[in-house]
Amino acid sequence: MSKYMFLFRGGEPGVDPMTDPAGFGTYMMSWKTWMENLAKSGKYLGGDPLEATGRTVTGKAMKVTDGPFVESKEIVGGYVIVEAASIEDAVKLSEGCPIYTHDGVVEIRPVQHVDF
Amino acid sequence: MVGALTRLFGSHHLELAEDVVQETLLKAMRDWPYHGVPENPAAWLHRVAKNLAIDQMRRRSRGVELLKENAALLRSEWTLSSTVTEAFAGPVIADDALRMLFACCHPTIPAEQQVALALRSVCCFSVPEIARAFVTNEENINKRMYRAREAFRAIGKVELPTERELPVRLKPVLATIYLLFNEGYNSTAHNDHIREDLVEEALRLCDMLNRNARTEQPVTHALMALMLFHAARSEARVDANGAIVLLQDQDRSLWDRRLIALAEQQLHQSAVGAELTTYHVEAAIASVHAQAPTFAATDWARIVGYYDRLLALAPTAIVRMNRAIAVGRSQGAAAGLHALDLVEGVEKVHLYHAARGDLLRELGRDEEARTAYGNALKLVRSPVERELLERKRSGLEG
Repeated sequence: MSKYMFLFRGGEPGVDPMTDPAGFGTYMMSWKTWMENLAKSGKYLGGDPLEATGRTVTGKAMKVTDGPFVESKEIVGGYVIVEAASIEDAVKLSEGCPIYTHDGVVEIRPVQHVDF
Repeated sequence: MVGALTRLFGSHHLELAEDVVQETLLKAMRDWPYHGVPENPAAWLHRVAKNLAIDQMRRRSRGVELLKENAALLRSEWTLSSTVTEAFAGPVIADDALRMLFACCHPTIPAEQQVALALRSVCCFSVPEIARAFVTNEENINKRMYRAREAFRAIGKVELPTERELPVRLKPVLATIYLLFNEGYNSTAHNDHIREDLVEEALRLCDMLNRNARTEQPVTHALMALMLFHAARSEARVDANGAIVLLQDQDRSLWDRRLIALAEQQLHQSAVGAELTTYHVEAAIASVHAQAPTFAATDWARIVGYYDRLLALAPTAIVRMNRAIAVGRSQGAAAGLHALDLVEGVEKVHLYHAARGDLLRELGRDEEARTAYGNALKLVRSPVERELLERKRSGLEG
């Protein structure tokens, strides 16, 4: 078993939690359904959604800027870490993720084993 | 709500769940007087409790042990809010109260603590209220609750028993409900609303069992019938001074016919399946009394028959004594006295001596009857019964 990180990019919910809380609730429930199944299989290790903006800190001088400023479909909107037997298995685990029906992308990256 | 939260967090977080509900109620007490009672109070309470629960989880979920199947969902912002929201979904709440009831009556929790725990966690009684209900002090209840909570924590998952476990798990639940009922019903501390609350809660919990397809059983209807028959007589069994009036002296016009009809209906529903319980038989006895126009016109032969069945299920001294009294009514004083003299272990019960006195008097053995009434008088506590016994004893003189 190895760890894999799912990075979610794009995939706007299309509903505003402020103006349509019920619609947003339905959207979040679809995430729950997917993750609940993951959790039941024992392969879900954790994860969180991320705000669209924060701070970017660069260089020795630790230059702080607002950001990241990239196109919204490029922004990492959240992550999930799973346990899977192989990358193919990890891809299969992402099935049912609501982001696919919201025009978003899941980037699946194996956690690197660092030996030295 | 405590039930919903406990199912979510696990039984070892009972206090966390109770804190959330407590804080919700406090918030309601602070807010409602200023802003008015919201249009849908239940929804308001659920929403506030939900938000408080989410806050609690945000602050503490990493440090505490959670149920395996919920831990990941409660620890992630992806799923925290929706998981808590789902736990508060309307129709689930009634089932949660039932789950809680079964957890509070788990076989690993000592019987006397089950009742206190159920009152606190299922019926939402405060500790002072529970202390009043059991005529004890708060310190005692707190101690009892502390031990009960320790045992409760070890249960883990709060769930309804499976169909296979149900017969075994239902027993302590019914025992707790009946204890609750008797605590309220048989109390001599009158004029205390807590006492009526106990009776009502016992009826409500049993009704809850009867409304759930899984937990509804012939025996749950039998207990309901038994409690309803007793409840129907509550007006008649206490006099103006608050003293207990015995069945034979009760004004039967005060019996609640509506409750008796409900009880008969429940008894009818209990009469399926192969299992005969003490609740069935006791309810059947209560039903015979309820149908009798007077104490004398009671179908005593049937009652003796029921007592024989009860003896086969629960051979206790009190049942033997009551059977002997019924024999005295149906087969004459001599047979009754003979049966009564065979009963052991009731020497400290004033009704035993009073019943012996009645039978001896009927047989014209006045001297022995006087002695029996004298023994009863040494043990009796209710002033009304004392007066009655004294009258009977003095009626024998000369």
